[in-house]
Amino acid sequence: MSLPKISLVRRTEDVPKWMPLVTTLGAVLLAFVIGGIILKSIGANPFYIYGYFFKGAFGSLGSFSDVMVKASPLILIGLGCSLAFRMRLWNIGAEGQFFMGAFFASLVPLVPLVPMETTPKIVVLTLMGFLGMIGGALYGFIPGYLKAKFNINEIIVTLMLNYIVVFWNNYWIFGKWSDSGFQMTKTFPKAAWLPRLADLAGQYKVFSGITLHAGVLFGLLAALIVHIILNNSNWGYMINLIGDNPRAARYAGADIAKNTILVFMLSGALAGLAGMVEVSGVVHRLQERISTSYGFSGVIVAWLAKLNPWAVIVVSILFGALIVASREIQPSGISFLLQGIILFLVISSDVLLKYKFQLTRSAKVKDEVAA
Amino acid sequence: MARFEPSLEYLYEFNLMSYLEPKADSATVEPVVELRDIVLRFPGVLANDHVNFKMYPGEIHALLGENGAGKSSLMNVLIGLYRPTSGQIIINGEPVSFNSPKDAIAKGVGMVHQHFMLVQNQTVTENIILGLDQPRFFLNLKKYDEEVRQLAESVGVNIDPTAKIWQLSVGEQQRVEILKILYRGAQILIMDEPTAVLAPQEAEELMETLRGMAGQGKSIAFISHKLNEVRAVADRLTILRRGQATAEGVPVEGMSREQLATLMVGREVIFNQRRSDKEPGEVILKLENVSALNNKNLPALHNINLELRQGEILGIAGVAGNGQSELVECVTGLRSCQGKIILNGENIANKSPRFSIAQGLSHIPEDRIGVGSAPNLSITKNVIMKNYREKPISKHWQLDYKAAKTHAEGLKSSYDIIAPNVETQARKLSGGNLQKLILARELSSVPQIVVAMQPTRGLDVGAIEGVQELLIGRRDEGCAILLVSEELDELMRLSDRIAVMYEGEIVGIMEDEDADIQTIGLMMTGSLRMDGKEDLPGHNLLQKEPETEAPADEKAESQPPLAMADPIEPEEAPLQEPLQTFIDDAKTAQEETLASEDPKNFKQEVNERIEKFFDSIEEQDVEEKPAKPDLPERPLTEAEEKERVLRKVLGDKYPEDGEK
Repeated sequence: MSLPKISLVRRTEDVPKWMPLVTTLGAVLLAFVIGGIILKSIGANPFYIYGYFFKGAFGSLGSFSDVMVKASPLILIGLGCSLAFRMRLWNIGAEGQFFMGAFFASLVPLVPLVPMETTPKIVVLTLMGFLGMIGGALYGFIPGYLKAKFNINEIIVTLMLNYIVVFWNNYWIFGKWSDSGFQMTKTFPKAAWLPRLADLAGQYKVFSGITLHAGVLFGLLAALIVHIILNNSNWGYMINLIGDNPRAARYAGADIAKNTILVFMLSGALAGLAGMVEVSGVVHRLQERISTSYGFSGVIVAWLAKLNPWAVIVVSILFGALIVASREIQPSGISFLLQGIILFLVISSDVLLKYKFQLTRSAKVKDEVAA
Repeated sequence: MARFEPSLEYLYEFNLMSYLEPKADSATVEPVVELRDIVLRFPGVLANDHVNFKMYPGEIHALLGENGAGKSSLMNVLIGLYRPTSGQIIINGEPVSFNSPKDAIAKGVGMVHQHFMLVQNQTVTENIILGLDQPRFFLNLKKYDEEVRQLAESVGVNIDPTAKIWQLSVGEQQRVEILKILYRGAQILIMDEPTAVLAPQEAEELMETLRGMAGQGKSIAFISHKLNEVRAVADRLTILRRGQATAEGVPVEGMSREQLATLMVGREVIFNQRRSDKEPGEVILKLENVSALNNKNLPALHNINLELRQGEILGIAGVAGNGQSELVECVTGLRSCQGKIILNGENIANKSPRFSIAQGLSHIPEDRIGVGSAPNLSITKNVIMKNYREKPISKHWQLDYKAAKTHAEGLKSSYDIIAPNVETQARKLSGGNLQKLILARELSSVPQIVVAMQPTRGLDVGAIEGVQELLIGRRDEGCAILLVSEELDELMRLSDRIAVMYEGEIVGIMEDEDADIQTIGLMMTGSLRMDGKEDLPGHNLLQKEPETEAPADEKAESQPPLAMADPIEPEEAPLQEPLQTFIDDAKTAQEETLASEDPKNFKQEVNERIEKFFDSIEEQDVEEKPAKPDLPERPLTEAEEKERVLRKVLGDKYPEDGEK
C-alpha cells in the first residue's frame, strides 16, 4: 500500500495574525538547528559554539554595545530600503549612498566648513548629520530622476553608482586629505565625534570603554518617523498605493514621477545618515573601508523585516550580533553561513503563509483499501 | 399533442428544476462526465450545494450563473483544482479522484482559464509542449510545429505555430490555450468565460470553433453569464444560483432570455428602456477638436467635438479599438492631447488626473483590476483612493484610518459590497463586488460628471442591473454621464444620446428616439456617417487604408455588426394552458396560505397540489411517450419522486421518518 500523498494547497482564508511572527521565529530557530548539524558534522560541539556566540554578542555590556554599534547603520539603511521597497523601487545602492553620506559629513571637519575649535559640538554634529543626509539624498536623486523621467532600470543604476562613489572617495582620501600617505584621512577633531557612553565613564564606572554612540538613537528615531510616514500619513498611503498598483495610483491622481524621486531621495538620505553615523561615531575619519558592506546587508535586513520599520530594528540587532560573534569564532565564515541559512529559511517560510499542507490519499489507495 | 415540458416558471416557482432529466441523445448514450451530488465548502461559504452535472459526448453544455454562484468552483472540482467536500466525479463511467489538473488531463479533462497562462516570449508550439514529458532532451521544434499545425487544422483553427505569443491577439492566444488542452488529448473541454476577453468578432469565431469541436464528438462545458451567447451556442445548460442548481441539464432550445435571467438571479430582470424624462441642463463638458495618439504613437483620435449636458447620459458606441479608450483617457487626464477639453469652463486637457478629480470628475475605468483598484490593499484603502487628501479622512498630512474605516463601512453597506469586512483585500472580491467598490468610490463623491467605460463588462445580469440603476440614479440627480460601451443593448437602454465612433472620429450623434440598432451598426462599421461630411473617416489616419470605394450598403452586408445579431425582443415561450392554470392556482394558494400564516395548512395545500399535478403529468407522459422515444427512463418511482420533490420544496421542514 502506498503512502498518503502530501500536497500543498493554496490557502483560501486569511492566516491568523500571530502566524507570520511564529513562522519567522520558527525559521530562525530551524536555521540554528541546521547550522548546528553542520557544525556537528565538522566535528565541533554546536552547543559550545552557540554558547560562545551568545556570550560574544550579549554576554557583557561591552559586547552588547558592540552589537548595537554594528546594528545602528543597519537600522538606518534597512529603514531606507524598506521605504523604497514599499514603492517597489529596487534601491540596492544603499552602499553608495552610505559612502556619499560619509563623504558629505566628513566635509565639515576636513575642509573645515566651520571653525572646529570654536563651534559648539551640537552645531558641528547637526551640520554633519544634515550634510550626510544631503549627500545620500543627492546620490539617491540620480537613479530616482532617471527612473522617473526616462524609466531607466534603477537596479542597474544604483548598482553602478556603488562603484563610482568608492573611487570618488578614494580620490579625496588619497589625493587631498591623506594622513601622511595612508589610505585614510586624519582623525576628526573631537567636536566631530558623536557622544559615546564611554564619555560618561567619569561619572559612571560601568561605561568605561563602552563604545555605544548616539547614532543608535538616530536609528530608533528614524524607525519611528518611517513608521508614521508609512502607516499614518497621506504620503505613506500613496507610497503603498503606488507600490501595489502604479496604474491605479496614477488614475487616483498620484504624481508617480515626483514620488519616485522623493522616495529615492529619502531612502538615500537614511543611508547617508548611516554613513555620517559610522564616520562620526566609530572610525572618526574618512577611510576607504568604513563599511563591511552595510549597504547590502541593509537590503537583506529590509526583506527579513518584511519592510516593517520596527522589525528592521530587531533584525538589525540580530545581524549585528552575528557580525560581533564572528570575531569570537574561527573561521569567522561560520556566522555568514548562519546568516545565509536564516535568510533562506525566513524567506521560504512565506510558503506557510500562502499554502497549507494537506494529506491526501489517492483514489487508488482507497480502492485497494476497499478491496 | 406536444411532449410535456413543464414550464420553467412553474419549476422555478417550486424550486423543482432538478426534476428535469437531461435530454440525452438516446437512452443508451452514457454521459462522459458526471458530477454527482457535489458539495464544496470553503470556510464560511458553501460554494456548491449538492450539484449534479452531466455531459454527453458531442454537446456544448453551458454553465450559467451570476458571479460567485459557484460555476467556476464546480468546474475546478472537475479538473482537480479543488477537492469536493462530498460527492462523486465519474468520467466515462469510472469514478475518479483528481489531485491536480494533471490527473484530470490524463483522463481527458482540460480547462481553458479566463486568464491565459502563456509565456509571452515563446512560440505557439513551445507553449503547447511546455511542461510535457516529451521531448526528453533534444527539441526538434520543426516536428512539433508540424504536429501543432495539423492539430489546429483538424479543429479548424487558423494559427501560425511559429508565432511568438506577444505577437498574437487575445483571440489567437485563446486558441493557443485550446490547442494546448487538445494536444494533451482532452476530450472534455471546460471554457471559463471564454468570451469575456474577446471582441465580438473573435467571440463569433470562437463559437464556430467550439461548434466544430463538438461536432467531432468532444464535450464542451461553457461557463458564462451572457445569456445571448449561451442561447446561441449551447445545447443544454445548467444554471447555478448561490451554489445550488436551479436548472440541471435543461435543453436550451425554447428558453427565452427572460426565463434564463430569472433562473439566474431569482427574480424578474427588466430589459426595458431607461431614458431620462427630464430635459438635460447646461453643457458641462465640451470637447473641441481633440486629437491624440495611441500607445504606439499612431493617431487614435481625430478632431473630436462633443458636448455633454447635465442630467444626460451620452453613450459612445463603437467597435473596440476605434479610439474610445483614448477618448476616455484624454478626458480623465491620463493621456495628453491636442485641442480643448472644457469642464465647467476650465480647460482640463493635458492637466493631471488629480486636477480633473478636483473638478468633480469621476472615472469608472475599463480595467477594474489593472487600473481601478489596488489588489493587495484592503477595501478601506481602495475606497479612499481619491478622497484620502480630504477631511475627515485626512487631517493635514495625517491619515485618519479610523475615519477611513468608518467611511468604508458606510459604503460597504450602502453599496452592498459583499466581503467579510473592510479589511479584506480587493483581490479577494468577485468581479461584481469589485465593480461595486469602484462605483461606491466614484459615485459617493457626488461627481458632476462620470466617465464610465464598459461599466458592466464581465458582470452578471443581477450586477449589471445594479450598476445601471446606480448610473441612472446619478443621472436623475443631474450628473452628466459619458458612457462608453460595446454593448449596444446597454447603450440603447441607458443613453439619452448616442455618439458613434469609428477610426478615431465621431461619425454621428443621434438622439435616442432616432437611434436604431441598424443605423448604429452601419455607422460603427464605417459604412455610414451622419455628421454631414462626405468622406468616410479613416482617410486621415495613417494606419488604415482608405475605405471609400465600397458602396455603403454592400459593405454593411459584408461585415454586419455583431451586436445587431440579437436585438432585444420579448420572447415568451407559450405556456401550456393546463400548466398556466395550475401555476395561477398554486400562486393564489401560496398567497392565501402565506397570508393566513399557517405553515401546516400550506404544507398540506402544496402536497395536494403537487400530487394532483403529477397525476396530470403522468397522463400526458403516457400520451407523449411514443413521440419521443429518446426520453430517458425515470429512475425513481412516483412515490420516491414525490418525496424528493417534497424535500426540495419543504427543505428543513420536511418531516423525517420518525415524525411521520
